[in-house]
Amino acid sequence: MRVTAALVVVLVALSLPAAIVNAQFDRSNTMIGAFDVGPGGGPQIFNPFQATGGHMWLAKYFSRLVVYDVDFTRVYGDLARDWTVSEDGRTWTFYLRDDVKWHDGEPFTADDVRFTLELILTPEFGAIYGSQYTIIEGAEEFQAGEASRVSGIEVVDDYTLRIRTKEAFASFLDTLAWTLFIVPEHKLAGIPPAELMQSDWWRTEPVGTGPFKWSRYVPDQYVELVRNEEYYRGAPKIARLINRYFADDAAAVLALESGDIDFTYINADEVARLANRPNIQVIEGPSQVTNYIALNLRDPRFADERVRQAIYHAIDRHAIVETLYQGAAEVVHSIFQNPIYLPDDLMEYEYDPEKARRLLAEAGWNSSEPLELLTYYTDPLSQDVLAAIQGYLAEVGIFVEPRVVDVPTYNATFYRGDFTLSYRGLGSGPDPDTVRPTYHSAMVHPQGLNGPGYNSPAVDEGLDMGRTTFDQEKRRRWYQQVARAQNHEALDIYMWASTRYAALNKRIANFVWTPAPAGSRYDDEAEKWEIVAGL
Amino acid sequence: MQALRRFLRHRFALAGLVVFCLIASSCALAPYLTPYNPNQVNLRDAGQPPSSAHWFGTDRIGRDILSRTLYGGRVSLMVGVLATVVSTVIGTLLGALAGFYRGWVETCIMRLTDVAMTFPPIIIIMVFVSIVGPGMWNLIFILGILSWPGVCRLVRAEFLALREMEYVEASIALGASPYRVMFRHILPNAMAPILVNGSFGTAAAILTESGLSFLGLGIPPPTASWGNMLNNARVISVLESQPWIWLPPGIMIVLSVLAINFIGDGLRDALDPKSRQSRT
Amino acid sequence: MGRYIVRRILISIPTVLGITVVVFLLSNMIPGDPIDYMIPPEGGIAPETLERLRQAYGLDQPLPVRYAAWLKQALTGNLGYRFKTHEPVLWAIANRFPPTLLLIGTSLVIGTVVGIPLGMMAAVRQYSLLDHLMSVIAFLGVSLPAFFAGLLAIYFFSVKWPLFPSGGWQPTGAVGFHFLDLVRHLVLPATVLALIHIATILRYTRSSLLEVLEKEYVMTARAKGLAERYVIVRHALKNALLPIITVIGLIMPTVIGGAVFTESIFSWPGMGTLFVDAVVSRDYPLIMGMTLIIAIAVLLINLAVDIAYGFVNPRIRYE
Repeated sequence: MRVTAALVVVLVALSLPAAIVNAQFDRSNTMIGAFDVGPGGGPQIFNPFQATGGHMWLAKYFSRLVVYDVDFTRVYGDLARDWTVSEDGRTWTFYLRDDVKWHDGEPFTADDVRFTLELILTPEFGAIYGSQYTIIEGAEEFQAGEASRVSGIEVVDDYTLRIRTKEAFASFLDTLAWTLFIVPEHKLAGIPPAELMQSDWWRTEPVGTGPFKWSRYVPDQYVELVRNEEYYRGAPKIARLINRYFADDAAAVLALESGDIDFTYINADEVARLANRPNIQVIEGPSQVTNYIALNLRDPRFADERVRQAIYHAIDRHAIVETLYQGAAEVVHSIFQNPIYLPDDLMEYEYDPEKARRLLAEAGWNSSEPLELLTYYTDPLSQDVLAAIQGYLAEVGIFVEPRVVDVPTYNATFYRGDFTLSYRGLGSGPDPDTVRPTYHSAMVHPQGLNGPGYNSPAVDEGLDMGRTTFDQEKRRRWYQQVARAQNHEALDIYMWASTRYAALNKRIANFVWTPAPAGSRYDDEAEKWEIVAGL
Repeated sequence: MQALRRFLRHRFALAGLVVFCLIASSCALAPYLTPYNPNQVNLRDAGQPPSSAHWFGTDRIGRDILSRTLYGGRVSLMVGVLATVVSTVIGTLLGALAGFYRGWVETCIMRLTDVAMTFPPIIIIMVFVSIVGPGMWNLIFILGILSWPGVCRLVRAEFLALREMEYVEASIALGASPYRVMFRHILPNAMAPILVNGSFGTAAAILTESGLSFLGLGIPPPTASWGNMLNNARVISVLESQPWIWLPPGIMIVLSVLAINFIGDGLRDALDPKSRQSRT
Repeated sequence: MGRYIVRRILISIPTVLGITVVVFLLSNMIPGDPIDYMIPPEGGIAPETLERLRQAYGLDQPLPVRYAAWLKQALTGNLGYRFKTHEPVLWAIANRFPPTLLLIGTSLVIGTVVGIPLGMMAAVRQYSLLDHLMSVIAFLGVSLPAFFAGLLAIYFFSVKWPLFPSGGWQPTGAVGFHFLDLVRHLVLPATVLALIHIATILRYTRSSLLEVLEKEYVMTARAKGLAERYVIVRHALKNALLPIITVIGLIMPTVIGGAVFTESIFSWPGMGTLFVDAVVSRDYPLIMGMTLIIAIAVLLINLAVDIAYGFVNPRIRYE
């Protein structure tokens, strides 16, 4: 007994840091959220150029040149006050705000933007979206080390910046709104890019221009920001903003309900229940992600158009949307959801198991071999959806076996084409050019993300022309061509686009949120968020 | 016979045996006990509470909970029992070799055991499952591979003690082959602790399977297992308002683990009356 | 004794090395690498960019080269950086160790403090109603999957009746450290974890006490007319402790990994969740660093348990 007790006492004593300071504090002006829970999250990744998610949180202390409004209908300026684009669509001139200060008090200028762009283009820095900016003139020479500056980036004066691209690129503003978080030259110019990639600067003392300033990071627990009194759009109303991390989504929901946090992403399953809670408001928005079944088009079994059509007819997509998603999803007929990119002549492929069986019989389908259906969706709802799809397909004689893997495994499998069927999702907006690396026939591994070997001349043409066409009406028609070809050729089985949800404690007012891919591109007006009631 | 009498006197063990047999046989007879296919999706009947048509109700895609519980029990019990069989066979073999031959064989095997026992099993399981993928047979194999060291130590200790017994020395002197001595003469006398250990191992494996489902590494849906059915309770609205979805698998896990543990307890008392202390 | 310890430590060195080699190979056999982890499948990154990143991190090197590089670095005390957050691995582990130790320590204390007396009661009244009741309670504790017990605990004790925080180990955003806050955060996870320990310790105490109670010296003590309570506590329990310490020693390694479920349900920033995160994100330096530290810790704990044997039972000699 003595030994056990002694052992235990020592263990406990060792693990107790000096527990003397009183930790009580006031929640009345602090908002705590699980901002990195859910598909748009990127917990504990602080280098914005290696963050494929969590942009919502990064945008709390870094800013971008331009942003979308929350409905993704238009792009407007943030650090850039205004801009113009030349007749040939290749020269962009940005007029920057002259009243912006970095969190350490230094003024923000056009040189910071130039520095950020060059940093992203520096190969040793390993910015994951770097290739999006190689369209800038002189970028390749810069990357090859033949030039010390990117010739296409010109600082006209402190608050004017000109960027010239190699070809007209209609989605340039979308790219800027997505991935160009501006970082301070005066802080980072002295650090070699290779070191900066892994530097602890990002998680110990980042300096941005956003509405909140970095305060501290408690690993695996939370990050705390404090109000930036000097914020150029007006000082935020909330004094402290805390992003808490959760290892388990269910735990985040319970924390919201118990009042421990004010905000979290929630799965559709929790909506009905939380909507009944008097102190909780459920927020919804379009996921901008289209779910579909990708077929490995190198597989001869899918070469027959009738087989692909049969898969469409076998699955009652409307029933799945109504019962499993409880209406919180919409059946789609191509990768796009935005109605302006959808032509009138899309086929419905309505649920018709008889027809599916007939088509399969005509195509001489061999139902003895089970097909593997690969997915990375692990949430309970998707598990149910997969079981439903499996059930529907089995009824017409297509036997699939779902295989659920984690994201790294999926990425190491899908893009190389090592799969038969895959239930997946693809961000299809806000700009339609987003889908090009997945659908263009020149984008098969390792050039792009075209894992299935998708090859449709009509789609290729639409994507290429849409990318360089500035005339909105003409551009729209090119993407309608893409949608039509996808729908008629049935090389993918398009399922639905779901609504995604978050829940908020009603004590927070003026809160703006929408479930954007990677959690970003839009202006959530965080400076206006306000705490209006006690807990 | 005396052991059997002692076992039967252990009321809880007896009850455990009855409960376990009931559970196991109803899972085995699942096709005769329920008219529903456990994987038959029926979206119109989704989320129904228990009724005369579906005694335990239906889950969120209209599958019959009763039949999923029974078919799921086949998987969970198979994992529990077969994983234990695998680990017991490996552990017994290595433990017997180590305890019988001593010398460098023993040293090698026991060092290996030390290494295997050093690492927290759940972590190795995670790594293994990530490599070979989830699935019933993979899981059985992995759990089996991971739990042999305990058996090995146990069997070695038994062998060390038993090989000094007179009857063993007598049979060696009579020229019996080592194989014969090990498996005909010593092993039967070491069966008691192996059985006891096996029963506890089975219970532990059933629990491990449900834990792995929580991490997404258990039996992959749509195949039912108690673990992945219980995992539905992670949706808080299911936890709160659809208890019929998670209660049956939950109760089955608790009942069978409880029953198996009691059987093990009874076995220990019955087979090993002198030393009730469990060897480790 | 001193020589014994030195020899045990020397034997451990190749063991630890062997473990790191095996884990290095295993972790690289998992499909996907840390770069693959960074890509959201709903978006996507140009593969050439990813290749550049792999080169930047040295992931394009052959395995033996990478292992050698890791070992060389590790021998100088540098365990590298976490891929995801770029925090030093050693720092990441050092930060998670206190919470884990605290959680495990507390649950073991609860387990021992509750388990031993209950086990004693059960042993003294063998086959009584009380004994059977204890058995049922004990086995119920082990038969509830930890993640499920955790969910129920949060649901009832922080949502339905908000008595305790739903997770974490300090109040979010609080400055400094307050003992009572810590205790409040500790109650639920430690209790859930202790359920298993109570059961195990109860069972072992019961059986080992039963055995000791039949020994001659206990009989003698009884014959001398000593009070039953005195006999049990002074004579029997002391000798029954040996297997109990073994059990605690056996629990330790499983607990470092086994707290995974409890830690992740309660957002407890410990080693278990860190390791899961390391595997999920294919964070090789973190996996290797944790392997090394856990292996060393477990071997030291085993050694400590063996030495503790010596204290309780001086007849055991170290040769």
